[in-house]
Amino acid sequence: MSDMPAGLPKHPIGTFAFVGAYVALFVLAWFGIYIYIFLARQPVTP
Amino acid sequence: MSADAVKPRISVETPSRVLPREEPANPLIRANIWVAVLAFGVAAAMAMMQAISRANLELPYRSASMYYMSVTAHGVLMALVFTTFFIMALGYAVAQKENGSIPWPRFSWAMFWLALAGVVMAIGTVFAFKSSVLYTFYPPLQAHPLFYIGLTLLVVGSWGWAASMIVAWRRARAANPGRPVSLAMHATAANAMLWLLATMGVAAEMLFLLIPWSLGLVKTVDPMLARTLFWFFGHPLVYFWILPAYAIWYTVLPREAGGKLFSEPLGRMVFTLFLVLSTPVGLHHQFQDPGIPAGWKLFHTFNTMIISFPSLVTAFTIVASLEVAGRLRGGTGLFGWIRTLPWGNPLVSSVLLGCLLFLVGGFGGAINAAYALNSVVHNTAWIAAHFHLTVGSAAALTFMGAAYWLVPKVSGRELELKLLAKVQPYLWFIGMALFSFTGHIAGLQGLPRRVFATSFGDAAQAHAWQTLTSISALGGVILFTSAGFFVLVMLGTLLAGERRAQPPIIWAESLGEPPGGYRTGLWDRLGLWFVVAVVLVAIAYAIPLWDLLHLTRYGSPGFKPF
Repeated sequence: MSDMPAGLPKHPIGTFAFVGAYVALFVLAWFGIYIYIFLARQPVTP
Repeated sequence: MSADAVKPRISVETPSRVLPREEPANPLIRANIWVAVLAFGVAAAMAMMQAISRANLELPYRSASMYYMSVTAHGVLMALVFTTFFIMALGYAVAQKENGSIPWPRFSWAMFWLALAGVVMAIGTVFAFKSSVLYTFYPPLQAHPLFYIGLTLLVVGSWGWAASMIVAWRRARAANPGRPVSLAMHATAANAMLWLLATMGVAAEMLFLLIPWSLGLVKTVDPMLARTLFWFFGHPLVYFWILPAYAIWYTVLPREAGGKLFSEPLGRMVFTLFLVLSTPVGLHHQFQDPGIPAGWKLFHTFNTMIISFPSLVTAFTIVASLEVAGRLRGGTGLFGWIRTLPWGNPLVSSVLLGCLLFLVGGFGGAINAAYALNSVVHNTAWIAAHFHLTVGSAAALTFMGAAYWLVPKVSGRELELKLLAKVQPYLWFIGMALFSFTGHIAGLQGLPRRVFATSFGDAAQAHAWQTLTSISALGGVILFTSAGFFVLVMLGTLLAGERRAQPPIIWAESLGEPPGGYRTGLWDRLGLWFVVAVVLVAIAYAIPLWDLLHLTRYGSPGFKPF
């Protein structure tokens, strides 16, 4: 990983937080659609 | 005649500064940009009409025939013409920056005229109501032969561009043995190779199926085979749009934002991985199609999931580069650096807003690419909403921002109507959010795509969609306004911008570059990776195509319902 310029935090902590939040939302939304829309609709045939 | 009379007349408007000699490829770059901008303007007008029609609002001359003609024109002009010509313009600019000139300039001009002739031919038949087959041109919908021939010429013209880019890349490598070419050149060459590989599918579809069928040389066509060949090309087409946008994100955005690229080696890996993985994924567009074994659909699903890796790496690298820029501009705290980014710079705001929309588009893509969930959203408004966040936002908004940055450099003119250029990306963001987010929700509720009216005989379910389609129509109007601003800025700049010396193209510096610069590495060996890509494509497609050719085939005559 590249070093941050002098005077800045050692690691891109804001990026970790941003990307982490996005991945968490991504997973939650994906499973939300899977559980609350796809599974909730039930099979089309018994 | 006096001596004074033969002195050259100097306009009072001549700038005091001496203009530099024009770079040799600039006229060709401008010609490509002209076509892109004009196609974009016409396509945007078509789009507003469609959004209003789908909200069941009456328009003059509103009819199914008019709707499907306009959807076809919009799709072809936006997805195939605006993008391709802008990408070619950007590629020539990159090659010229790399080597001081482009390879084979006369050949490149010939390819430009060939591609333009193809566009005129194809779109002429669309506006004549002879080719309302939508931009996917699925048979058995049948277009006029000149539609297929014209699009084929566009592709052949773009092959000329791709060959030129690969030669430029080789020349740059030869000029600096052991040193990598610029990241922008690397990305452009990877995209050119990707394009050559991907377009084999559509070339085969055109030459062996659609053109003979439309000319009446054969009576029927195999829709399944045609769809498979289309999606061989159709999904990597998305990456053909996205890679130049990524190239702008990696090589221009960090510098414009006031910082540095977080990691150049990661960028090289990303573009090479896209070359390898972009094509063997097309069957995830055919999950609901018969005739293709589930195992091969699963294989393409794996590849699709793998290709999200370079996009996630890009998300990390670009956000980190922006964090560096924001902090160097005085931003503090976990997210304080976001506020200090130059949101008033049209290139920066275009890319940032496009990225925000793309975050949602990426999520939608993961729904599309999951076999079970695809059945929920297949052929619904979700799909159109999804690709308006990818090509319509991440790619198109980046291209518009890039045009604000590039056009002054290749025209030697100041950007005109700067206020419109500043406002335009925000309008696009608002309009696209309204249009697409409502489309996603309506799609989950079952609203079909590609229908010109959504009242369905006043059905109860259709009432539930009405609010969403109305908001979507409002988004369409805002998008059209934004598109109008973009076209005005481009026309103003190209036709009437003040002639002044412009700063040259300078790529963003990379953090962590070793003293003496980078050395050529494995990811720079694009020829080798192209071979890997061909092998992977052969594995992914040989058996499904063999099956389609040898199973009992059901041909269809052509249909022209609109």
